[in-house]
This record gives sequence, structure tokens and C-alpha cells, in this order.
Amino acid sequence: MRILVVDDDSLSGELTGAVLEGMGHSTVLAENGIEATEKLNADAAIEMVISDMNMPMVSGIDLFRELREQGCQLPFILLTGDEPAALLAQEPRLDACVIKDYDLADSLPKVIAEVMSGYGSAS
Amino acid sequence: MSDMTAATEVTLDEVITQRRDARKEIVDVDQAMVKLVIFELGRDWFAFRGECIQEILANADVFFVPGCPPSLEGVINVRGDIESVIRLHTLLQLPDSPVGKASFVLLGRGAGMLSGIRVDRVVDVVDVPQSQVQAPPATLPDALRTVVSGVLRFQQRPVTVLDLDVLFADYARGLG
Repeated sequence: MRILVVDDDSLSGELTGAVLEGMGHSTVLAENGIEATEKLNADAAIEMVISDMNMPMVSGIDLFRELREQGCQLPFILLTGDEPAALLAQEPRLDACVIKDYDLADSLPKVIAEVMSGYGSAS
Repeated sequence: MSDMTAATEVTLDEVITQRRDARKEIVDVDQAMVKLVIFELGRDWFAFRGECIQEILANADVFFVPGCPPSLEGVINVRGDIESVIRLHTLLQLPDSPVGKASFVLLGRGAGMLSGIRVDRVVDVVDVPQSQVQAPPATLPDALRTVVSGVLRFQQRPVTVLDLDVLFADYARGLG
């Protein structure tokens, strides 16, 4: 699966991308919401968006809302250093919200599998 | 009256303590931070400073180069650029990881050199207060003594911070 990773911290984005590539996915990196929108418009093969929450100008939730407003219905997973439950309460339409920590390599594959099963896909 | 005075003294002590703690918190927020890429080699955790690492590569195909030294695993193709991949286990005189175990390559720059560095697992990319990075202990093994710039604790585990400039400079001089 081709996944767009959005993170203003390029090394954190690299790490998330490396975890995904280790699972067999291919990744596209964007450093902010505007670049993310451009990459989504330019690459029709992208099937999922995984975005950091805390980014300058456009937060992860703002990016999600903007994409939904534009009609983009791709699965969207939010990464955060904060409490996920509070963010899910703030935006219940998010497919998942995951704590971005040293456990990401274990937690992310499980969450992606759960999200994709909800979309009727096993990838 | 004396009881009242004692009560007042206690209250003042508390206020002073609270103010001191509050001031300490402000200092903590303002202190310099350092970005670290923390990774695993065998059972140990190490780190490079974030500014030294350009990319984190998974599933990189490393091509063996006949005649290369044991510390050089081979070369990789990074979007058309051919870069060496250094086996950090060998440089640090650590046992090799089991064959077939998933691993990562960090693309790092130091001492004017760009190279891949084989590690077992990238644990996290974190910003930590500079003050948490302590000077290296005097008891380090010889292989680590010159290349360690500091130590810290992360997730209740010791992390050894490596100086990539020294590591690559030693390697380029043939000491690796």
C-alpha cells in the first residue's frame, strides 16, 4: 500500500516511513499540510494518510478536516505525543489516533490492520 | 501567638518552595534541547545527534563489494547515488546481529563523509534537554572511549550517544 506520511519533523517522518517500509508499504513524505495536499493531488496511488498532530500552521486534525471537506475519503491515522482519547473526542471521524513513541514499530502495524479491516481490506 | 507565628513560618516556607519549583520549571522549558536518533545494536541502545542523520532507510538492498574490509558491509543505491554502508557492530566491536533479522540503515554525514550505517532497529527520534546528556563514564571499553560523546537514560534504559564526526574520521583514517 502507498502511504502519505505528514510530519514537520523530517527525521520523525523518516522514522515513521521506515517503519511502514519495513512492513512492505511504500511511502511518500510531506512536511506540512499544504505539501500533503499537493502530493495527494499529484499521486492517485496513495491509499492512506498518516499525519503528525502538532505541526505549525495546519495541525493534523486541521489537515484531516480539510481533506474531508475536499472530498478525500482516504483512511487517516493521526500520530500524537498527547492523549489519543482526547483527540478522538475532538474529531470522532478520525480512523485512529496513535501515540508516537518508541513503541510505534509495534503499535502502528496493528492499528493499520484494524483500520484497513474497517475499510474491507486486509492490506 | 507563637502558634500563629509557627503556622506563618510554615506557610512562608511552602510559598518559597513553590516559587523555587515554579522558577525551576520555567528554566526547564527554556533550556537547550538536542535531537537524538536512538537505535538498537544487539541489546544496547545508542544514539546519534539528529543533525548528523539525513535519512532512515528500511529494506535497503546492500550490494556486497569484493575485497572490502569487514567493517564495510557494501554499498546502497539512494535515488541514484551510491553510498557505502558501514557495519557499526564491527566498528564498535559488538557481536553481529543474527542473519535475517530486520534492520535499518541510517544515512549519516560526519567528518565530510556521507555513508549508510547499519543498525538493528531505530527506537525513536526524540528531543531531550541537553542537560540530560551526561559526560561519558571513565569505565567505557577502549573501542567506545573516543567515539562516545555522552550518555543518558531513555525509557529507563541507558543510551550511549556516539559522535559521528569522530566515528567517520577514525574510519576514514583506517582505524575502523
